[in-house]
Amino acid sequence: MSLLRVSNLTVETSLDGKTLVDDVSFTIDEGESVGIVGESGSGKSLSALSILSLLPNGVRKSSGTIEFKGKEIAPESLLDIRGNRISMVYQDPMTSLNPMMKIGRQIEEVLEAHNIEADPARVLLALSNVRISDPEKSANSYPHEFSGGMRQRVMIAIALLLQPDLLIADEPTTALDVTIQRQILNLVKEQKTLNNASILWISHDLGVVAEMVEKVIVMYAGRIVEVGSVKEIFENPHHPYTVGLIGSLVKRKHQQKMISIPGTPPKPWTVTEQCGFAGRCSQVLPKCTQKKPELISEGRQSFACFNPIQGGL
Amino acid sequence: MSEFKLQVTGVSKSYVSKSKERSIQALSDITFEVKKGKILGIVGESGCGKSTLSRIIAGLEAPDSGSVEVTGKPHPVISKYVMTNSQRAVQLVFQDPYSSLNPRQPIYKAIAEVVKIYNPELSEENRAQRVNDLLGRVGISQDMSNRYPHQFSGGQRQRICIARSLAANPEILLLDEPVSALDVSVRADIINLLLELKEQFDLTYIFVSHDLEIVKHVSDDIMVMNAGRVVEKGSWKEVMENPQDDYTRTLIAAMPSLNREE
Repeated sequence: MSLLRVSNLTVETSLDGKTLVDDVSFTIDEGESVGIVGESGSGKSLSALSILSLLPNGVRKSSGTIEFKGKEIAPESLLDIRGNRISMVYQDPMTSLNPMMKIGRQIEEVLEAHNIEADPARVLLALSNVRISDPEKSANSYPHEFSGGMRQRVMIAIALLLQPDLLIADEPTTALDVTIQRQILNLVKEQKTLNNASILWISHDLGVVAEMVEKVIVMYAGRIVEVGSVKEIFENPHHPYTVGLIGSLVKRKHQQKMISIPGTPPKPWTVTEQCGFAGRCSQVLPKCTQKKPELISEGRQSFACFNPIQGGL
Repeated sequence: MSEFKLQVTGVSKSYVSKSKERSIQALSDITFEVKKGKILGIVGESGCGKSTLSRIIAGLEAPDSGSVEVTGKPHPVISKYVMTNSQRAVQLVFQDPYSSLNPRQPIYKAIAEVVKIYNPELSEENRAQRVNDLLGRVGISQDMSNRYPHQFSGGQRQRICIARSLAANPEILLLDEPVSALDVSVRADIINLLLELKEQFDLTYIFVSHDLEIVKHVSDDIMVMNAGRVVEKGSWKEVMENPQDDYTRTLIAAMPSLNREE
């Protein structure tokens, strides 16, 4: 049984029903790390936010089910799951922390929200677990006294406080410098092994995803275009979008032309009846603009394309 | 004539905090040079001084000490009143193309303005021709030239900014994180365009970025900065494959593990 099963998730704007995420399905097994890669507007963050019913105003889930441990997440059970069994870390730690409240108090609040006695020792332990030196002093500080990397450590401490089964990380290192990113990546890996948590890692950075997860989901214009293990996706991608994206990263000669994808991504709602990538695709067939390709499986890998590329990069 | 297009010698700069209590040394004794037609990549993390250095090279700010020379001649700080030839020679392209274009100005006007400043002798007709030529070179079609910045995608806006910087007939383009704000699938496209334009217009590039992968791909030489100092510089191969400085090694080790180059 999968830990999390997302089936046929569709997200649209509440006002005029424009499709933003189109029929997305995937599963995460216990202890498994899954990454969603995609560009801005591909629907990767909205898919992740839907899991915990955290969609922003003006956007709603119009269909689909989300099951956690075999049971659909109902609004009543949300409070027991959110922050407890499934927790989340966001891109910008400054906006996720309360600027007016000391760090220690913010951690206590999480415990109280889940009816657990706020034990100061537990707060200090949570901080030292994420390698914050001098936890006592830190617990007594305000977020603005911390650097970006330290704030993200606090967010991770909060997210892991109740040993969740699933940690959703939405671009958690995008705002950080590379050396700080490295520390956070290592920290999450270490904590994952300790807690045996599953991870859903959302990023536009293929390098980071390749390092953090086992299974990669590639999203484009609101839809999943390819799913496979890191090795499969990087060595033998089938969807022309994945091929272009990875080609630009791995197949380059110094100062020579990089493999590039001409044009820009379309808005998801403009391509609901066709392949979203057709307008930029070198492999395009007439039927690509008439019909939406379904995700078909080939071994453990699957892709949504009528004219896939064979033979690897 | 000097063999170097750009020569920066012993540049230092410090800022005094508002309360006048502390002085922050943003740059200490920066020395480097770039040959004509070459690409120098400058890497470093936030706060390393790379933006201050860009501002000084562009002539937007004066160093406390040291000098900047373009083609062997001193590069003065830009004055509101006098446009000198060396100011024209160094042009900037910024990270966020949206905030560097006037949202209420059609892109034709944005470029024509620059042409007017640097080529005042051109008739209106010739000016239009020049603007359309520049847009064509960056892959923006003429019939889009009356549109406003918000009607373009991020990649197209960066193309427009590049066309605008070319309107000044520059010799050096200072590219400050030119692809960091763009979608991943668009980045390669802009990098390809920049490499092409360098040949077409006989340009020299300073490529400032925090992204080692991109810097490694485009640069002839790489200079690594940390805390306002140059910690290492050399050919891209030397720096990436045999780094001498501890900080450079940390940076390279921190890169996510996807660096399989052919």
